[in-house]
Parts: sequence; structure tokens; C-alpha cells
Amino acid sequence: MSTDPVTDRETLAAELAMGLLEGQDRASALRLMLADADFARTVETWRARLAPLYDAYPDVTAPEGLLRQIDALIDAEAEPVSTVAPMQRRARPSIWKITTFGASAVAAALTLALVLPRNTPVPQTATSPDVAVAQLSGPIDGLLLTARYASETAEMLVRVEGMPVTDTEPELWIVPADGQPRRLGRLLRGGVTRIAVPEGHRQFIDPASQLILTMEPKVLPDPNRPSAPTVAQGRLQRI
Amino acid sequence: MIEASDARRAALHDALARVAARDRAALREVYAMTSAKLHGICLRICIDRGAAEDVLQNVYLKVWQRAGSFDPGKASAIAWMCAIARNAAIDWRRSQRYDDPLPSDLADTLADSTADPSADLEQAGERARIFACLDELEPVRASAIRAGFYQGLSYPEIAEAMDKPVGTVKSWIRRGLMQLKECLTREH
Repeated sequence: MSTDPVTDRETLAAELAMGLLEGQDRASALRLMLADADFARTVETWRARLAPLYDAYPDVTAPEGLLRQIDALIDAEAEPVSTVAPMQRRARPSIWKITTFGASAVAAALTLALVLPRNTPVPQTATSPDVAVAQLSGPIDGLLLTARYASETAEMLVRVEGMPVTDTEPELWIVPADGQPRRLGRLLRGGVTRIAVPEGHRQFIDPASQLILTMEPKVLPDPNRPSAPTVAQGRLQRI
Repeated sequence: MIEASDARRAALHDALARVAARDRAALREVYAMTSAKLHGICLRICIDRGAAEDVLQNVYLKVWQRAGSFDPGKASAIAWMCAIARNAAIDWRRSQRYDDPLPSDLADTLADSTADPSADLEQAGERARIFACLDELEPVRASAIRAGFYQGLSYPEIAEAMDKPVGTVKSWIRRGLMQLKECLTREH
């Protein structure tokens, strides 16, 4: 008798929720999450099922001063692109000890700044009414989208990180307070996509709106509404 | 006790909503309420103190960035944050490729079964149930599941720590998880 039972979807969902999978196994399970809403729900159910186990991790007081370093990381995130990289190196030298993690941490810290074109002046304070940003994430670990809209150009720049390979295509929508998604456009699977926001949709760029990502067939079944479940979402914030 | 727990959950939820609105003071409140728990998670999985601190900083950056996507319909605020911390710590751990997959011995993991969960952020009944269900499993299955969950170990790492073939450990964990599901969904 085999000691390795056939992996059904329920088991795969549990393994993904547990964090047991690595490499290709993890990548294909994440692809399945994007492609199959039932499977994604099963993973979410397992995550909820296992969540009470977090209680048994012991509390360990965090080192003094860590909050200040977190503040510095967040401040660095908001810095203009031309000065952020050197500041990161000075402000957080220890993060560079960990090569792989350091790279992703800094990438995360710089995400907002990096979506900006280098020659665009960047507002540094929360005073400009003309710029809105959003961070989109969801149940796919590592998938992170950063969007920045400038009313001056009516363009939305969207950076995609951590998108698994799938047969489907990432499609961005804006969902205003009325709950009805409006299509913004198809995204590149990595790097920055530049979307000219249609005039009729510009009125929805406000904090009452969410941006959502769905994974759609290559030929969009209906350009007026998503045909697939939301895999990442985030609220727009004016900065 | 339960009332105090409910009040704490509500306070954390409220603070997280304000973090989503870019309120830095609210992030400090969230930090005060959760940093010991999240640090405990990072330390347990990363083992290295310095690495755990770096991961923890990054976890709060993610909380700051992602608070707007928190969905209270899917998870409690503390569970959402614990998941971010655990995933970040596991990512770090996997990027390091420890030669020794289990620097602290398995007895530490087994001790988790008797640990008195100090946090009162989750509801007592829900918490007690999954621990009771784990206790129903064969001890090796429960140990393997605990090693995977609490220390973020992969199948090959658990197999090495328990000195068993990977296939055996996979079988224990998969069957254990299905038993866990059966126990949790059983009518009481």
C-alpha cells in the first residue's frame, strides 16, 4: 500500500495554507488558486481553520527602537526615487546582511516610488489632491500591485510583482461606491503598465473606490464586468 | 475575560481601519497591541534574532501597505497579521536554506501542544476546539503538523527532523489534516 495518498484538491489546499509546499509545487498551487475560484475558497477555508493555532505562539516583547525603524522604512517608501536607494542603505544597514530578503524588502519599500517615472516631480507630503495610490493584495502570497494615478495626466501606473504564470490574463477594475466594477484595462504580468483612464471613469478616482484584480480569459467574455473572482484588492488613497 | 477579549479585538480592528487611512498614530496602536505576538512568530520560524527583527519590520511595512485590503469577513485582524508575519518568516527561512533544518529540537515543537496560549485575541471556544482536535490525532501526525505550522518547516525538513522518509511524513500530515478537518466540522 502506498504511504503517499493521491493528492486531491482538498489536501493541496490544506498544504498550501500550512505553507508546506515549495518551489514548483507551490507555484502550481498558486496558479490553481488564480484559475479556480472553488480551490481559492478551499484554501481560504483552511487558512481560517488553522488560524486559532496562532494563539500558541508565545509572545516575545519586540526590541526597543524597532518601531522607529519601521517608521523610517515607511518614510523611505514615500521618498522620491532619486534619493531613496542611498537612504535605504544608510538607514537600514542590517537589512543588507540578508541578501535575498533584503532585495525583496527594499523592493517592497520602494514599490511606490519605483512606479513613478524618474523625470516626474514627486509630491512628498500628503498635500496634493491630484494623486491617488493603492496597494492591492489578496490570498496569493507574494502578489502585490501598486497603482498610482495622477489627475494631471489621467494616467494610472500599475506595478505588478509576484504574478504566477497562468493561462489567464490580469485585468484591473475600479469599483466605486455603487459596487459596480468598471474596466481599467489589462496589465502586464510584471513591471509597470501605463493605463490611460477613460474620461468617464476618472470621477471614480476617490477614497470610496477600490481597485480589484481578476484573472480573465485571453478574450474578455464581457468588457463591462469581471467574469472571474477577485484575486487582489486595495482601496485608493489620496496622497 | 471574553468581554475583555472582544474589546481588544474591536480596538485592533478599529486601529487597523485607521491604518488603512494612512494614520501613523494608529499604526503605533496596532504595533503596541500585536508586536509581541508577531515577534514571537518571526523568532520561532527564523530562529536568528537579528533576522526575526528584520522580518518583523518588514511585516509592519506590509501591514501599512496592505491594511486597505484587509477583509474582516475572511479573518480577524490578528489572524490576518499573524498570517503576514508567518508567511514573511517562512519566505526568509526558505531563502536561507538552513543546513540544519531544526536547530531547536523537536521537543520544543511538542511543547507547543501543552503551551497555554497567552493571547486572548481569538475566541476561547474556537481556540480550544482546534487544540482538542490536534490532541485527538496520533501523536506522530500531530507532531508533524505542529512542526510544519509553528516552525514553518517544509516536508523534507520535517522528515529530516523526525528522521523518517519524506513520503511517510507527507502521509502523516495529509491524513492528520483530513482528520483535523473531520474533527472541526463534526457536530458537537
